[in-house]
Amino acid sequence: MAPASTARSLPSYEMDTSATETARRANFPNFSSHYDAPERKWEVELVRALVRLANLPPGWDSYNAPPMSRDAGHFALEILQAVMHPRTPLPQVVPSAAGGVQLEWHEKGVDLELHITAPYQWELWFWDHQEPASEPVSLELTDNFSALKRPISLLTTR
Amino acid sequence: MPPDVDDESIADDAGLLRRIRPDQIIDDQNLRTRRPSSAAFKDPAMSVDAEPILHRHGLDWTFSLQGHSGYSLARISAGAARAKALAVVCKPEPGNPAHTEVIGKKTQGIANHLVAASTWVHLESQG
Repeated sequence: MAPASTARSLPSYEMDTSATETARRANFPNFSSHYDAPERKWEVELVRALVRLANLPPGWDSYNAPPMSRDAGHFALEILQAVMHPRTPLPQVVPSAAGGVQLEWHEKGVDLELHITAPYQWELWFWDHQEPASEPVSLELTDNFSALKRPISLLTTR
Repeated sequence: MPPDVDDESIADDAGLLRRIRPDQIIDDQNLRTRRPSSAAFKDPAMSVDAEPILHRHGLDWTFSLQGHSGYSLARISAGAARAKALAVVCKPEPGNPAHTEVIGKKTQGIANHLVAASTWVHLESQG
């Protein structure tokens, strides 16, 4: 039997220990800390997507787009850690032509987009199509995540 | 450097072509369609190719995708950009006489306006 310290079953993401993955983790300590101790499956998937975006070269969109900064990626993770619930669907993770990352949901009658360019520099777009006469909400935000409460609740419970 | 002044020689109904990377195409379950993410339209100096200039040079939309395998191509009209106070400015480049920029800050509201006004010229199949 294996020693207790190594006996725990490894999640599938830890099985992928290619040289590339090892190098990425070494280069992105903020992300690697989440690789080492992920609490939720969505975090693993999000970190993978963010690491991929952080490794894009300048001009990755065939024009002049800068890559996402590691700080922006870490802030995106911080936002979701603050608002996600176990049954909240995963966002689509999209690189932004302005640099940064956009997390977006378009389901259950809800359009929700979080466009993050740097820590505490982010925008929210929200539209509930099932609410009669509702209008889209477009906000520029810093450290207040409360505007996310209602849209995340709708995505989680609807 | 001269200010970026809207080029009135580009008519409101002129098509502006923007390449879309595969990972900037999202599944919109509300609309049941694949469409460009608004994140593809966030660049404050957004590069496009102006279709009337392509045509004057005997070119068409396929020129915009040359050398960019896997990309899709979306069209917005110059008028759709101007409706949100964005400037359409011709900026020819070596090898691309149709290069144009759509200049101005794109809030999420403006970027989504551009998405709603966009149509596919070419959409790569998935996978």
